Amino acid sequence: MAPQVWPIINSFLLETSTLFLLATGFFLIHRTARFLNIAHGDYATLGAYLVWSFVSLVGWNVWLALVISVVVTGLFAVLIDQVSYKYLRGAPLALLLCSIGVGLVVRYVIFIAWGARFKKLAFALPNVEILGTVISGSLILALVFGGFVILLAYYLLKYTGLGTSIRAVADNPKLAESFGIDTEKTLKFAWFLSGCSAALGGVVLVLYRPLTFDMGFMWILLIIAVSILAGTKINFSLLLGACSIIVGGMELSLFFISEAYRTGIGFAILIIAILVRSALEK
Amino acid sequence: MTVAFIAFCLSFISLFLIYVILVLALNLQWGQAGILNFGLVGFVALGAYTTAICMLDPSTLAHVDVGFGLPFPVAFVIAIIVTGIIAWLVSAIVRLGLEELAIISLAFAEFLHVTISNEEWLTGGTVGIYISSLLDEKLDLLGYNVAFTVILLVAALLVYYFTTKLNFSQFGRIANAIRQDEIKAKSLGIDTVSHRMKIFVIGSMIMAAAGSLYIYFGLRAVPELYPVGLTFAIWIALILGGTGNNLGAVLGMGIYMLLDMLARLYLNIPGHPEIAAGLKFVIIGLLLVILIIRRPEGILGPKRSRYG
Repeated sequence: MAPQVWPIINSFLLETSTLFLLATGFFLIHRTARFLNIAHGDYATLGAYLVWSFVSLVGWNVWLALVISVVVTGLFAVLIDQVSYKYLRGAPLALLLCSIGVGLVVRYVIFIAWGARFKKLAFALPNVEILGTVISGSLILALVFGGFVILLAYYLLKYTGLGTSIRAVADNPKLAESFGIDTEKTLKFAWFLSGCSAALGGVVLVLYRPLTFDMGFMWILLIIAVSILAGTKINFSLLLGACSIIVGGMELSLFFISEAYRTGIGFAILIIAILVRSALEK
Repeated sequence: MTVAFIAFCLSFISLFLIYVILVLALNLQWGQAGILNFGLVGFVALGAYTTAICMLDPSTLAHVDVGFGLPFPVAFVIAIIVTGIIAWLVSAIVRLGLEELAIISLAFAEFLHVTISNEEWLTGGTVGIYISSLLDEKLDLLGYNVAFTVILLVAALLVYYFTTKLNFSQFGRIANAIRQDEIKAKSLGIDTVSHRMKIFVIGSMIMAAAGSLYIYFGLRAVPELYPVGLTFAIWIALILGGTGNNLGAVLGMGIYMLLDMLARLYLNIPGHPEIAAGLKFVIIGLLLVILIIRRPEGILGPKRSRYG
């Protein structure tokens, strides 16, 4: 039994941490700037391509490349916000449409700059063997990054002034402003963190998938699904729970129907969750 | 001018007319009622595939197991009704928010795309379904294209008339009231959710009609005809031309298609095909961002009734 079960657990853990890392920044923006940033997946793609370029073209150490590209992607997210989203504050539908445009630009600039051919990040951690099961280096790294982000998010939100203002803006932006919180500055931080975590998610994704210009965009529907499922409170453990429910459901569905419908199952879970929640609210 | 050239021009015009019907349907949903429908292409594909499956002659089945051999008018009506029911289900799921409806409709389109690419017994998978139309058998190339264009022109004019009429009717005024201030509309005793659902269903049925007509003349239904990009192309045309203004929507569609054709003809960089392919989308994306920030009302602003 064990040999068949392990690959499923392995891919469950791997994809849950990837989805969590990809969704963290999206969720943060969804709750603070209050819109669905469709371009978020493309920020992840950008982060992954930057790491690949620094490693393969410039020849830097992987860890240095990782840190630099995470920071650069964060700054990039702030820049995009300053030149576009800033003008549309408080209009979620216009912001949603605008982010589709931003996503198109980022995605196809990547396409032009790096080409359409598949690339592979030439980086692998050694596999570890525990109790007879081989645990891949990618999985360990994904779990470490996921754990790091959730602990960091917990610390930031709970113990720092920045986290308090993020929570205040997420609860009620107008009230937060009237209490003297600089909403714009808080949003700038939120965008920076959002870009950083997207880049981490992109890097974890390319540990086990090839780099393609639309790899981040492919995940955006699942990211939106977990972000809606996680609810209206800014709580990252709920987000992790949402990720594991959706990925878990998709993994289990492999026993019953064809793999092509995986994403469809993710959505079926989202729809059921929305229905249950609205039934409970009544 | 050769016959082939005229036929080419006519097929271009008919494609434009199909897009005009789609942009008018989207304008009904977004411009009038403020509904974000990102699953446009899904409803088009649904109408097209339902028509194709209904029309497929059961005696000539090759790689598909289902076919009913119905005549086109019956298949057309069935396609619209089926899409209406599914659009109603999609909108009934998310009676709540507009953002949820946007995402669920996008997910629906994705799901439908996967289904039609994989369920070979029903849709022929990536090979698709080929149907034979009566016109195809009786007319030559030119006559065929003329007939197609005329029928589409009539259809587009009907949709234009219908959506404009709707905008200035009480139904449209209520929709405008909901879009402008939902809470106020509710306080006046309007059932905002069910009104919005009605508009979503009507718009989706028009989209299905466009898909159905196109399949009848295009003669084959394949998944590649319905990329997600088509949804965004129609969206950009609408935002370009003028949200809430039917004339603006048609104008926007015309400008979009002109830009698209110019990009195809002149945007060629030898040796770097990906630059030309990518640049088109970069320009579309930039255009979308700039328009939404600088001129959200489009080239022609919204045109509403005096009370709208």
